[in-house]
Amino acid sequence: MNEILRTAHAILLKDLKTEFRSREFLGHTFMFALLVIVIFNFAFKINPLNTPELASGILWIAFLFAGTLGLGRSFLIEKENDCIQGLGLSPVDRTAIFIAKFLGNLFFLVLIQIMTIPVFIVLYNLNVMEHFTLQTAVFLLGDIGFMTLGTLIAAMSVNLKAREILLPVLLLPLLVPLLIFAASATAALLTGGEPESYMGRLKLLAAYDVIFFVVSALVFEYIMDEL
Amino acid sequence: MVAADYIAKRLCMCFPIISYNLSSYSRIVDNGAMQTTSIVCQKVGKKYGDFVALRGIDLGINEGDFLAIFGPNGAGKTTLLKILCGITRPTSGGATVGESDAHNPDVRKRIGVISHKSYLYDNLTAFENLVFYGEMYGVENRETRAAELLESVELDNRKNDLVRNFSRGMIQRLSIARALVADPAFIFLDEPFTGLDHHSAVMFQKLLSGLHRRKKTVLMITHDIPLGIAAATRAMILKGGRKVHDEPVNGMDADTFLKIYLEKVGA
Repeated sequence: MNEILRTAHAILLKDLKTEFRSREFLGHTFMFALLVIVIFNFAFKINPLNTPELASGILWIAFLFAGTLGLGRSFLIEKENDCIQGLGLSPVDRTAIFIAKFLGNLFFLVLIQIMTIPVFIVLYNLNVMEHFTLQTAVFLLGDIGFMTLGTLIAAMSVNLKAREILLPVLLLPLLVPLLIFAASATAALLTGGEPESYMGRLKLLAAYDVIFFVVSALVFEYIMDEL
Repeated sequence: MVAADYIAKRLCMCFPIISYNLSSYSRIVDNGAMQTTSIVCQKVGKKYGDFVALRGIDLGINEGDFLAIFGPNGAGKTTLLKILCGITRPTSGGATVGESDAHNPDVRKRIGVISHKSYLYDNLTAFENLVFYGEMYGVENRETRAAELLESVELDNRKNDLVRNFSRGMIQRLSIARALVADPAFIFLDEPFTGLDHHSAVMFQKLLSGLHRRKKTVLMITHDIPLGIAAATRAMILKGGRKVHDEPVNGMDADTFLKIYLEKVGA
């Protein structure tokens, strides 16, 4: 296990270093999330009564769309110069590659959220982080599930010609349960709902994360064989 | 082998810097113990759907052999290499590398692969790339090893430059260093001369000859008959997934082999 974590750490550091040097992904993805929030602000008739209900959906859609954009990138950097083959030829455990890619994707999504949420608070005049600890837990659990499945599907689609289209087409249907649990938990916290209303969803999110993380880590080795 | 040695001697006379680099390179690859390993394929077949890429290939490569594999596109050369690297499983038959199944992850530690794709990260420096791959192969003293390898391929003065700023020849030299980071016993090459200018190709060939002299077992796929036949000790031709020629080179010149090649592939 230590060996897997050591290797994952090395791949993660490499990914972060190459991404911050190229500066291609972060700025574009942040701009995209920002645009989604702004467009929804114009598209809906937002008022103080419906804001908490709509806000959670808008926020999660912005995260899903922006996160999906970034997912494709995580394996594309490995396709340049066929580095994925270089990794595949090395004696590293495939699970380490999955963990590194998952953590890298999660890191960038959290970074996008940290940049987007303050803008959202100002634009919608709604403090989504009022229940800071609980809302952070909802975001993190949602992010983990999203990035677990996203990393797996991104790996599967990286060799496809129409990968830009196929990645969201394959991924988003699988994320519907996660979106329902996460958006409703966020909405429950924003409307000041009873603890039972969001705690149950938090548990469901946690179960979703555990199941898909274990399955994805196990399946990833076979996907790597085909890359 | 005779031809390869002849070219090596001539080049060392003409370009003393190559001689220097080979001698420094020799020190690097000589740090391993004596290796008595070989590669065996038994009735290896591979299908992709209905397409048959390999049809019952039997092959034995002794320690220290330098085998060049030629063949037209779609002959199954790269598929064979992928099976030996352990990244693709054969549909039938089996392959062993160093007496272990080719798909055994431990075998990968002993294989260095050089392709026309560099497997290098454009946004990392030459040094960072080598240290990263050193970590992937569990190499100790990665920084020292990376510095030694960069010196051996004459890139020590560019160690902190990003790979995206390198020329094709420099990338291929760095690719050699990457493949050697774990001091592998087996070197597999897939179209290594693709895109190289003449000077880089000659230098690359020199480095290959140096590897062979250090008793590394080398298997090279190439379309470049003159360069391939000059470096190899044994030549094999694949056609339609079948082995149609497999003989020692024994000083054969490229023109003679080209005639054999054209006869065997029916071009």
